[in-house]
Amino acid sequence: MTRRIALALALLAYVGAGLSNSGGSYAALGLLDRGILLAQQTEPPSLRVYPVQGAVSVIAGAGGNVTVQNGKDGILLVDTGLAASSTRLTTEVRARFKGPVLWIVNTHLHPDHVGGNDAFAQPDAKKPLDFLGARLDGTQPLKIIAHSNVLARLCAPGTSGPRLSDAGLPRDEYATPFKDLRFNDEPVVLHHEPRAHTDGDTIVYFPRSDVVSTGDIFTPGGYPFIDVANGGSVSGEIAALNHILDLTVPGHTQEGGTYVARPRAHLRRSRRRGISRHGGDRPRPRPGRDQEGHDARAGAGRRAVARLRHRVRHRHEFRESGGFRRGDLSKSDGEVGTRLMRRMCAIVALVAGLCEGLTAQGPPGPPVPAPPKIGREGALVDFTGTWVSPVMEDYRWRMVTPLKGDAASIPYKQTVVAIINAWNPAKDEAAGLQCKAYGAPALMRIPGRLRISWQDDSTLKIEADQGTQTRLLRFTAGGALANAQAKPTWQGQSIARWEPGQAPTAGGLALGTSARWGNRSQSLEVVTTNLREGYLRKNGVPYSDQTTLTEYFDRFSEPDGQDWFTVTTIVNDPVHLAAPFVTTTDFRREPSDGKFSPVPCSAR
Amino acid sequence: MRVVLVALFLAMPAVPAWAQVDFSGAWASLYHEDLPERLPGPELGDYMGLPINDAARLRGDSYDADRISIVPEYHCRPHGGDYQMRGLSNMRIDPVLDPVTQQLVAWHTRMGFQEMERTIWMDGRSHPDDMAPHTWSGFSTGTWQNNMLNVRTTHLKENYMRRNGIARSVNATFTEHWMRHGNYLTVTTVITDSAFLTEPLVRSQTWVLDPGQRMGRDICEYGDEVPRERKDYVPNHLPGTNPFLHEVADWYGLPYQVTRGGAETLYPEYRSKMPKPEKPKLVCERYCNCGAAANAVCLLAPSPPPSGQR
Repeated sequence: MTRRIALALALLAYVGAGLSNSGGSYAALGLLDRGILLAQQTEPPSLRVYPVQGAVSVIAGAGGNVTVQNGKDGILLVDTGLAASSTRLTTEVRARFKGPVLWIVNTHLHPDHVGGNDAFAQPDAKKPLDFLGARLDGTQPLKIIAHSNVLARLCAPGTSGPRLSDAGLPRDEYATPFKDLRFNDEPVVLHHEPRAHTDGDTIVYFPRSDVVSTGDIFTPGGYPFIDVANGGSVSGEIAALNHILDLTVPGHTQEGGTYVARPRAHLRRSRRRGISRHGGDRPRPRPGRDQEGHDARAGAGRRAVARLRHRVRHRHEFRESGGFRRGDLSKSDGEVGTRLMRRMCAIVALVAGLCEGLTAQGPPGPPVPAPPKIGREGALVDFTGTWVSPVMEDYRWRMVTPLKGDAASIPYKQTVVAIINAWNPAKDEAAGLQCKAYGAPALMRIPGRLRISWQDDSTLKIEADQGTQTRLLRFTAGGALANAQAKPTWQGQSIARWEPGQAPTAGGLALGTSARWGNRSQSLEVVTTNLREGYLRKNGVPYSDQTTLTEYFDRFSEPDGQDWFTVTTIVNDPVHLAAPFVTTTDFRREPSDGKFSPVPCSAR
Repeated sequence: MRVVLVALFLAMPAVPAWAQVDFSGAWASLYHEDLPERLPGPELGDYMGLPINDAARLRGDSYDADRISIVPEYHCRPHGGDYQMRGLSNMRIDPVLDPVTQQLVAWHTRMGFQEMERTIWMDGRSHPDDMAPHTWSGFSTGTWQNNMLNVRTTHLKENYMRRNGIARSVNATFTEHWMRHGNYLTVTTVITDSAFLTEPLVRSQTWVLDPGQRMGRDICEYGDEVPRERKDYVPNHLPGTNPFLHEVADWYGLPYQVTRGGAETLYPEYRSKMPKPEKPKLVCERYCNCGAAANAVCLLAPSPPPSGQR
């Protein structure tokens, strides 16, 4: 029997050696020659941190073991344990290791391995929504990486996997046999193990530390767990275990390194057939003894066997009910026809791009509820608070009343020149039209502060201190105006919605099941009509009552912790403008509304 | 079975999911803000809207535009990465895909001015060491925040924040936020520069999709445009000697102090304490219809010569 296989069997038979917890059943570490394997555990009562080797440590007790690689760049985690343990885990990681958590590798989709993603993906309380990691020191934002099958299954409608927030999903998925990273001056190699424990397994190899983190592929406490429902298979599991051997066990001509000579034998042959294929030096196993060493302890093997049988039976049932088999012909035509129709509908829906989870767009996102939530309930971004716009663009048209006739940058029609030149603020004051320059198409450009709040669950209120104006952005299910016949006003009637993703090909069905762009919207879209005619600028550049105003509000955070939003304002006036007039205005959140000081409109 | 086969055939072109928003295509800039500054160019001494410090003013005040014509290092200087979105040019954005996985590796932008190109890496790579070379466009990485692309850029060569001599230092970094809504692309640029800014400079630009656009080459050739007094001469104004700094205030009827910029001048409350203009004006005489349908390219309307200082 070769050394490799002996080690493999030792590996599989390994129970409780290395580290063990008196209160739990986990067997976390096994040292094999130069390789070190980290395996999973059940649920120990408390978190414990064990240095392993090199830059790698392991935290036990959070559900699945959490591997930590820590160095000058920050922290890389392999798996994040159960959601229930996430608070303890984040506290422990931040207390015991230095630097930001910049990488999370999920070995597979089970809740005891991805459950803590959300906790780490949440922005630091001091720096909310700090997508860049709030640093200018060269570090990167948190990235969560897993094989693409993990992301696909986590996002699939009706998934049995845990529900993660958008930020907690492993969106930096990879789909290649392996992927290299470099972190903390060490290569980090992710190997995909196809259809093993699941169909999205990753094992993580740290060559310099000489450690392999195996996820649930290596389970020294019992038989491997094959999650057939999530794409696992016995053959893939065996192949994965052999791959771990390849990574960790030196070849017989190699001295101490991790180089592995071509395998001379694989477990598959001996395990499945019970026949030695490893050369004459290995005695033929006795019947019934092939599993010896795998039953870790009293009872453990029986549990594992029962679990394995359950999975096999489950797969069998799935195949019985899910496939078209010859046996179906014995069923009634109606029964077969119904099933066939359902399947055809599913296929047609999929082809037609109507199956949101698969075809909607982009990387598979969380299932989009239908109908979409509106108003406060559907808010993806919080715009409430007090905001100020530092005037860094169009300064001499915004901070002072522009000179008469100065309409630079506005694509107005030639016919408007006479109106511009006729501007007379005294006349406006006399007519009670001091607020002509404070209408919705111009309000965001006036230097001042905005106070944004929810008036009710379906109405977002924007109060502007300059001109003491109030805009009401109404979310309605059908997008209809509250009263289309109402008298036009400075602020008009605004219909708001959370901007949906880009629709499939306009005018037709999307062909095929190609992924699509633009599915992850977070913008607030506002369309305003029923406007009273007013001024785009205080010096009388006009817009008409035929104007339609479209706005997009987008919020972001900066590395210094400041929150901003940019509003893109598109003024479409067929009467006075030769083209849509598009401006963008940037607002920064203020810590309080202490500087919000309403003043009346002024025509000058 | 046929249905299944047809469905599978139709599904064959499927590509892996890889990004949230498609920015690829040809884009035309909209100059509906600060058009006179961005097309013909800023007035000398116009520092309005810039949260600059005294060091930046000193650099701006010493600037003499003749150096573009005389000093070879300035002849073909492209915009910095932080100014490219704001300068005069159209733009093409291409995705860079991994040929095997079809995953997005980077966005690549090209401007129709002096061959300006940028690469925004989307593959999670780190920024290089501080000692790595600095370039005009810098080193950019991007991350998605739902439908927004957030870009961080470091490793910039020194350049300008405004084309009238207001410098941006080699230590500056900037972030960008790319947002696409229909055929509009908005890019908000936030520049941080401890050498010349007292707070971040935030500007946002809008582009519109322009599928018919074909970008050619724009190659700059080095060559002196005016005689050079000495080979080592760099046109400049020593402190206190620049005669043109009051022009912008006089032309537009603004208080001179306002034209000097500074963070204090950016906020609404500054309006109440803004000084009176030294030379008030009532009617626009310069760039008044710049950007209108009748003057889309922003030709300078005839205006009387500036009085006084010159």
